[in-house]
Amino acid sequence: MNQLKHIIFLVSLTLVLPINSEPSRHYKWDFPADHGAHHEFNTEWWYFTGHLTSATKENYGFELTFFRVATSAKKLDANEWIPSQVYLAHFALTDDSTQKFDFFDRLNRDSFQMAGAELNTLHVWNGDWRVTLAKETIEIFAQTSSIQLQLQLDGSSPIILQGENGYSKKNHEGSQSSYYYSMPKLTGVGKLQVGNKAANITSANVWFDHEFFNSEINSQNVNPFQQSVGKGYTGWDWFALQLDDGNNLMVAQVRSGNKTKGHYYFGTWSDQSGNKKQIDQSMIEVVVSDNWKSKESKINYPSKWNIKVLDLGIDVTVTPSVSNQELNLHHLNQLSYWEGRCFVNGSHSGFAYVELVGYEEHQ
Amino acid sequence: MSLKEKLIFDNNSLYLFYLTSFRDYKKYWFKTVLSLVGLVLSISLVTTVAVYIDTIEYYLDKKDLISQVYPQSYVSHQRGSIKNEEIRSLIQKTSISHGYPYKNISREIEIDGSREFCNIVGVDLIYMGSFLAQNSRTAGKDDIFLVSNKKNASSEKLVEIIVHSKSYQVVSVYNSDQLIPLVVMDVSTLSSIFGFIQIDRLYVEDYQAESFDGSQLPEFKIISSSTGKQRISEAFFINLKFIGLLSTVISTLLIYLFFRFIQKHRLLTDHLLINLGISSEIKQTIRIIESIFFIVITTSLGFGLGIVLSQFGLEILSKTMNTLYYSISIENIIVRPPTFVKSLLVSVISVSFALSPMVQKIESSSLKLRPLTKWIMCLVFISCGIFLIFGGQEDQWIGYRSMIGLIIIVFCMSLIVVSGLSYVFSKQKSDRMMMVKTASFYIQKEVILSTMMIVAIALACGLFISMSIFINSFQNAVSEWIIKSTQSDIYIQSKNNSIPNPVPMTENDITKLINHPATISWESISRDNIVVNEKSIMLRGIPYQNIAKQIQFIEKMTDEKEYVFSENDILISESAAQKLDVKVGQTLKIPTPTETFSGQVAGIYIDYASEHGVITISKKIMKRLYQDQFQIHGITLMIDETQKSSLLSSFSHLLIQTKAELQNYVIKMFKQTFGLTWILASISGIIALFVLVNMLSVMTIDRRSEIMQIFSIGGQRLHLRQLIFSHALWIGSVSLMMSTVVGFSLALIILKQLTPTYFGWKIPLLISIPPILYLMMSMFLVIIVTSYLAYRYIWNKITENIYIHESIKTHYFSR
Repeated sequence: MNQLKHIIFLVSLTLVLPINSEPSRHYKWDFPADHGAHHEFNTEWWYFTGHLTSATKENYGFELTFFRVATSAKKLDANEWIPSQVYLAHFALTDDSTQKFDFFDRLNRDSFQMAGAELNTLHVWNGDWRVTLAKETIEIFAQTSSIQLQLQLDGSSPIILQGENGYSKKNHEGSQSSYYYSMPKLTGVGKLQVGNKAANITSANVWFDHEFFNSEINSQNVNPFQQSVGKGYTGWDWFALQLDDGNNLMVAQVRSGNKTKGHYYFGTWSDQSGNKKQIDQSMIEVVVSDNWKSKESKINYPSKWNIKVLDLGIDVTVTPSVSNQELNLHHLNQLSYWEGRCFVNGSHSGFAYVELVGYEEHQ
Repeated sequence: MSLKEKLIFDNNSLYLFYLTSFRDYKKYWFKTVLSLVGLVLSISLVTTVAVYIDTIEYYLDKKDLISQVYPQSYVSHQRGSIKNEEIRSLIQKTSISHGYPYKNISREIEIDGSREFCNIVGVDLIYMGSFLAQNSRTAGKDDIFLVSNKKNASSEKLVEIIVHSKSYQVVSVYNSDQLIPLVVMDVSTLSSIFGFIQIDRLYVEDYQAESFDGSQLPEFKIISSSTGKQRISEAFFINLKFIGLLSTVISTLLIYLFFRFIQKHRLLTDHLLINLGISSEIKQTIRIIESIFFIVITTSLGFGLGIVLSQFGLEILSKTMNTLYYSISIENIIVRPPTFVKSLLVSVISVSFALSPMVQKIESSSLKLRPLTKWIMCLVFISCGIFLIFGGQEDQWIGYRSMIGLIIIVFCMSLIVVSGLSYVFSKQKSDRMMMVKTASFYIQKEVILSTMMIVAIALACGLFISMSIFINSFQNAVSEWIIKSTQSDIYIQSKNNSIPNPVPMTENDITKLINHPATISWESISRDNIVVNEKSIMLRGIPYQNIAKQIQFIEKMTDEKEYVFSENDILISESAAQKLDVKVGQTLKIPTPTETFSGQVAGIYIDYASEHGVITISKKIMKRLYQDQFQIHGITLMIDETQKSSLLSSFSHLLIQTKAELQNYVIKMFKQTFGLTWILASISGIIALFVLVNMLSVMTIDRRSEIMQIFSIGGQRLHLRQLIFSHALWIGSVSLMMSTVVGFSLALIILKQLTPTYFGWKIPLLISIPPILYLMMSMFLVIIVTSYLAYRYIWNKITENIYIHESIKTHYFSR
């Protein structure tokens, strides 16, 4: 590695962040305004993961996520390069037929509106990657040198507030929490271009998560992943299952290094009409039945799970459609995580998106 | 059968080569060495130039921090900098949706108590920082990094730098490549510290750059650093390239003549080989082995010598480049495989030409042509040569075309002169001219070969003469210009101020200087590097009060001497006028940080400071246009001489020069610039002398059999001496004449065609007699000495068999 790079490694994304507000259980949700950015919190993300089927019955999975991180800097008219917000974005595509996985990431400051998020509606962008709510349609657009994705989704599908009224606790102690809601099944159509190959997307089933919270991101002793779930926790596994019967299940496992306490679990079951059931720690069982080791990062990830929520009669196996769906970030200190399209079999069938974060700690 | 015989009868080509050609080389070892030295030197010149070009391009294109992290493409503005509102327009109106800033400035700043010249770069440190994150240690976007090759630099150490009297703690980082310290910070920090609101480049995603349609914003252009490699200044190397080209032609002729000589002496061996049953295929193979033998020797020696020469000139090259052209750190020479291929190619072409039976066939066929056909051919070739020099467009190939044209004309003219003189001498009836007549007869007998010899000498000597005229003219023009341009007593600037990197003076220094008791009056010079019509040009702001006294005008608005320039007038240097194709009276638009300034070109003046060209505007206008970015890069003072020493001692951290010192410095810089040309031109002078020695000795020894015949039929010692000396003087005089023709023609081509095209300067021709005189004297001395040695050699050879000659003589006269 060139020595010169050492000037830069010193700068991580750790900025001195303002903490202006704390999440509470009594938040009054107001949509579509709450789809917009919440600058009173220093960290926010908009997460779109979905399963796509083309007219020629080819299946794809995609992820398009936008992250906002606030800084303490004040914008000056004469110095527009001062960033008050920094935006990151990840875009990934999984192609079942070719078993190929492509990933791209971006980091831009809010200067010159190169990246941003509107305050009172869903309009978030990073360069030419964007998600916009126009009337009742959510439009997704992302392109790179090799891939272009365009989706029009029905934005009127039910909103599921996670946790208690959208207040989502992230650990046993409750030291870290967020505002969190989902739109688990946005359906629609679109277009996908991969290289020279163009595909009409006839079926898109997209899971949308929006979270905002205050991160202890300026803490020197925790990694960026721990900053979202609290000290003493090494990372999380997040499962978003879209079942064929029309119901949806979100299960999260926040991994603890403390064996006495054990991992922290939370989740929500919801149906097509927006009815939901909160799932607590005691109802969830996640057992890993296989592993996959990344050749690039050398991280050993779980790669097959048995998930049981017996109170709901759910006993399923979740298997990745492609083993290598690891995202090696160019930004964020070159961290790696795994997030990918999976198949669901067992008591229920369907598709899932799984996110595995914080595994490099164990290397 | 012995092994030797067996090898011969087995047609072993390699062994046959050893027995025949190799023995010839051993026998005529001196001649072989002389012939090869020419080609070796030529290859070394070609290698040196190629190595310099590769070295500079390597260090210019060396992947820096930016190119390792940022995308490959960037947007730049015609003006050279991009304003905030323009970034907004780019994002709104084009395919560019986002980008990463880059701003580079050069400053002298105080680092740990000592003033140092630094390159300061503003980037998107959040993007870069996270991109290359390697370590758990964290830092904010407000951090500043100092990269240098100082031994005590480390990532753990905090160093204090002082900019604009404010102290900053920066993280020190060691990097062995970083000769000039590099200060890296976020672009917003750079803007806060230095007050800049514009960036140099906006790096953009490559796919967005590909679909960029700049029709709405034509002043922007996309540059890809993967394809848009920086090219070095052609002007600096053009002379060196021509020296390489001409010396290659000379060496080729030299080798050709050498082989002709060897072949003549090989006739007997060839007959023997044929009688022994050696096939023509084997003879062909021997010829190929001979070529490879020469190619290997000349390439390896020439290439090696070229590398050594490059290494010696590296320091001069580095200094010149940094003063006049680019800010680069050259550590070592870069030798790339194509350089070796070039050397090999020169050798292969030379040797193949020299050994090619086809060339010899053309030569012998030409001799048999009717006189009228010969004349017509000559005239056609001369016409072609004239067309190559004067016809066609003034493009980058003009130099090469002119050189080829000149070589053709010189060859034809030499042919005409040799034939004409031979004809005149053949008509001589005087007994005293008998030996001159005989020499003419031999020369005319092989007129093309003799002409080739003269052309080789003329090109080699002419090259030296032209270089001496060119350099002398240039230095004289620069001296006159600098004397006229320096009217003040004292010149002050930052120590590291240079053409590629203008370093402003600090306000504190300026205030102290103008308030110093020694200062009677002062003027300032401000500079900026700008882009006008996509061409890099220096913008200079100076007071207009005494402008007519300080500037040597080539052309002004009116011919009246008393024309008073208004503050809105624009003055441009002749290289800028040529580069921008602008004439007096036309309007010129100059991009500046606040607005595009439009003014009338009121005068074109001489300025040898930069081949990139200089646009001069009044200081008042520059101050208005640059506002808070206005900086002073130089101060000139008229001083009270009695207080001079106090002034000089008070500002040791600045570069203070008296008028005389500045004049000497500039002249020294130009001498240094042409130092390499001088070295290579001197090598070409040495080649010229080698050519002369070789040609004359070859011709004399080549005529050994004819001279022996003359001796056999009664020629006396005096006759032989007369014959050899007249032969040498004959060739020498014509060569000298043609050398003068080549020298002056080449000098005219360089000064009238190349310099205006490549530098944008019209330099008046000034002949410097001493170097030409020394060359001519050396040539004359070489002719005399070589002829004498050749005569001694021939005489000794003839008198070895005196009895045979005596018996031949007796038999001849008793018939």
